[in-house]
Formats: sequence, structure tokens, C-alpha cells
Amino acid sequence: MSTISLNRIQYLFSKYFIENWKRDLSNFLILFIIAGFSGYQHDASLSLIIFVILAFMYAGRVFGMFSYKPKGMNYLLIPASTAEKTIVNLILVNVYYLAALLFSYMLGVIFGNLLYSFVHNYSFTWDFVKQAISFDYTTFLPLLLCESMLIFGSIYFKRKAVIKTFLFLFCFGLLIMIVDSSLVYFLTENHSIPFSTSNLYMETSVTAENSFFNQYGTLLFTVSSIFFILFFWVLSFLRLKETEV
Amino acid sequence: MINLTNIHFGYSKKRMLFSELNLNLTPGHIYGLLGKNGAGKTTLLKIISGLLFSQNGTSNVMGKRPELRDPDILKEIYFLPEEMYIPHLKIRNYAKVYSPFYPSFSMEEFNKYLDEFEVNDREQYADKLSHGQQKKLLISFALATNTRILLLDEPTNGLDIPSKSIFRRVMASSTNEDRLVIISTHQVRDLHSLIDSVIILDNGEIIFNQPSEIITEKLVFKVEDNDVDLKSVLYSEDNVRGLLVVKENSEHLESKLDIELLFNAIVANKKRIKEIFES
Repeated sequence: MSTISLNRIQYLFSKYFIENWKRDLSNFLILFIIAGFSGYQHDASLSLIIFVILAFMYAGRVFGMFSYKPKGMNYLLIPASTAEKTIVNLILVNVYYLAALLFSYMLGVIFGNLLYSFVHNYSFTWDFVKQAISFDYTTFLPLLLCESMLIFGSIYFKRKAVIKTFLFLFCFGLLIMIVDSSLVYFLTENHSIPFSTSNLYMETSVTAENSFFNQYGTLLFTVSSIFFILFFWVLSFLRLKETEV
Repeated sequence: MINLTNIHFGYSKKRMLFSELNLNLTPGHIYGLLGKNGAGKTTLLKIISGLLFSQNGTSNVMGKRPELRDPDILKEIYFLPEEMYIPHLKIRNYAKVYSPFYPSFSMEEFNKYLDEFEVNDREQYADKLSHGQQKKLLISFALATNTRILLLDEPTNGLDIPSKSIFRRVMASSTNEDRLVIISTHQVRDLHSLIDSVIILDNGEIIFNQPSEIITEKLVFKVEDNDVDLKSVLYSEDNVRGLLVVKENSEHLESKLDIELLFNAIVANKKRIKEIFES
């Protein structure tokens, strides 16, 4: 049984790019224009929101094909294994699309800045560009986690998939917040420590000596995020295997 | 090649569509799958292709379970559904995208079939074609894949009159000893000359599965005067030409198989016809 073949993976990629390059390019162009505008205005917030929305929309539509039966049938009957189809989607969502969005965003920001310096006769500086593109990997983990849940939702729920997936996302987010809050509460000696949450990432203001969370928070967050990202991808794979159309 | 044993399937637990359905099909035939609306013809094709899973029983397609959707099986099955999905691709790109998955695909044959169907402009977007043109495209692709199993669900729906005869011609030319074709259809007159075995699905079971030569050996299809002795008739219906009758072929007469008449005869007189074929 030939479960994984590099040739078939290549064919799946080729199929994807031939079928979707125009749509993807228009999305990247939209982000480029908005990021250019942001760069011109020296405010990246709008383009970052668009960035996240585009990433979510993309993830949500990966298995959206099953809402239209003939399209779902067509996909399931493509002579490639479920593992190959999942790998291709995993790479498309987590590597290709994210990298292309990031590239469009960066190009847009640089272009906007260049335009600003040209119009206002300023000399171009990299300060805002550096600030606007200074991401570390923890910025992407919540995004990837949400994407993996959207992908799972798009294949798991047959009817009203969008509403159910967002409800599921909300419940899952709430659960994680409760678990994290409880962890902080019990792992710190001072139970009245204030904390704030941002994208599931806890920033505690406790002192270093009594803060277990402060020391291991990022590690815990990274490990648990990667675990859940993989968990939802594995669930999507299993669901795809048993999907009937 | 296709072996279904004691298949149980239902869209709801309360109402089963198939209970203990058995079917054994061999290559080198074009099977006509007939049945009333809702009899489960499309469902049966979906079970064979691995799109639906039986709740009980075993499905075996080329020695493997279709529900595993093993690429080794999928590359040897082409299922043309009645409701088609056509991506936004030019015709030439459609073949470019999907053909690599089918090792026996022949671009030469694909172009030949398209030419026969007079789908000449390969630069057209496939999803912008008319329903009939889209069907011609998919039929051409299906035949050019040279898969060992070809499942066609209502292939002549949407085809114009000349295209139906082209369809019969290209189908006949593409059939060989290794290939098994199942055509699910209501339009038996379109495919009369093509089908060499008839499968009839009724009330969740295969009530009839016989090759044409056995059918015409056991039954005779005739046009009689209205004063025929109805006792010897298994089924009859009025027609402008006279009375169309199906009778047991006890006198070894030669007649031309009328699939529509056969279907009606079997549905109306299931028990007696079963006895004739078992004798």
C-alpha cells in the first residue's frame, strides 16, 4: 500500500496552484495595498487585522469543499491518500499561505514607507518597518492554533460549519483561559497576583522568585500550542479518512 | 473485480436502503444498473467507489476495501457523478491537473474524444461550458483515464441527440476485456446497444443480474396482436405498434432485448422471472 508518494504530493500541489493562483494572488494584493496604506500612515494595526482575517478565511475554506457535495466527491476521489492530502493542506496553511501573507505585508509596509518618504520629501528610515515586522514565533502560535481549529471545524461540522466552528473556537479559547488562569493561580504562591491575557499568552507581573509561571510560561505556552496544533491536525486527518459524501 | 457481500446501508438507522445486498461483477462487461427513483443506484456506485461506507458486510474492489481510499484503487476507478463539479480551469489545464493521478491516462485519446464530441476550443474555461459540454468533457476525461473500473451515473443526461450516439460509439471503442463499466441510467433507450449485462435494483436488493445473451435465451420480446393468449405472457404493454410482450422463450426464438420492457416485466413479475432464470 503506497500511503505516501512524493509524486502524488507534487501533483496535489500542482493541482492546488493551477486552480487557485489567481484567487491567492488577489488576496496577497489586497494585503499588500492595505499594508502599503498602513506603512504610509505609520500604523500597522489595520493591515495586521486583515492579515489574520485572510489567514482565518483561508484555513476555514480548506475543507469547506464538503459543503458542496460534488466538490467533496471530486476531492475524495482524487487518487491520493488521506495522509498525502492532509500533508499538502498542512504545508499550504502553515507554510505557504502564511509566508506569502507575511511577504505581502512586509512588501506593502516597505512600499508605503517609501511612498511616504517620497511624497513628504523625508529620507526613508527603517524604524517603522522594523517595528511593524518584528514578530517572534509566539505571535504565530495562536494564529496557527486557531487555523488548525478552523480546519478541524470545516471538516467536522457538516451543517452551519462556520457558526459551529466559531462557537467551538470560542469555547476552546474560554477553556484554555480558565485552565491557564487556574495554573497561574495555583503555581504562584501569591494568589492575588494580577495578570492580563493576550491571545492566550499570559503575561504575569509577579516577581521572579515566586513566579513559576514567569519562568516556564513561554515554554508551557509553546509546548501546549504545538501540542494542540498537532492534535487538531491529527483529528482533521482522522475525520477526513472517515468522511462520506 | 467487484464483490459486495451482505451489504447493509441506510442514510438513517431506522430506514435501511440495502439489507444483505450481494453483487459480483467481472471485467469485460458494460453493466446497465437500473432501478426506480430512490432505489439506491447512486448509493451503490458510491459504496463501490469508497465515497460511502457500508454499515455491515464486506466490499471488495480489485482485492481491496474501497472505503480505505487507497490510491492504488482510486487510480483504477473513475466515477462520473450525475451532478458534476468542474473547477475554474481551462480545458487543457483540466487534463494537466488531473491526468497525472491516473497512470494510464492518454492525452491523445482525451483529445480524440473531445474532437469527436466537438469540444474544440481547449482554451475555454471548463466551468463556463454548458451542462452538456461539461458532461462531454468529463466523459472524454473518464474514458482517457483508462481506469479498470468506470462508474457512470446518468451519463447521457444533458447530452443532445447526436452526442448520445457519439457517446455510444466512443464507449464501445474504449471497452476491453480488462475494463468493467457500470452505467446507472433511467434512459435505457439511449444505451440499449451498449449495455451487455443488466442489473436491476429494487427495494434494497439486486433482483436481477444477467448478461444480455442469457436474457434473450430465457425470454422473448415481441410485438403481438391484441388477441394474444395472456396466460403465456409475463408482461405486456400497449404501444402504437401493437402489444409489446415479454414471454418465456420456451421455443428458443431469437429476439432483440428491450431493456425498458425487461425492467417493467421484472418489477411486475419478479417471482416468475426469477424462477425462469434459476431453472
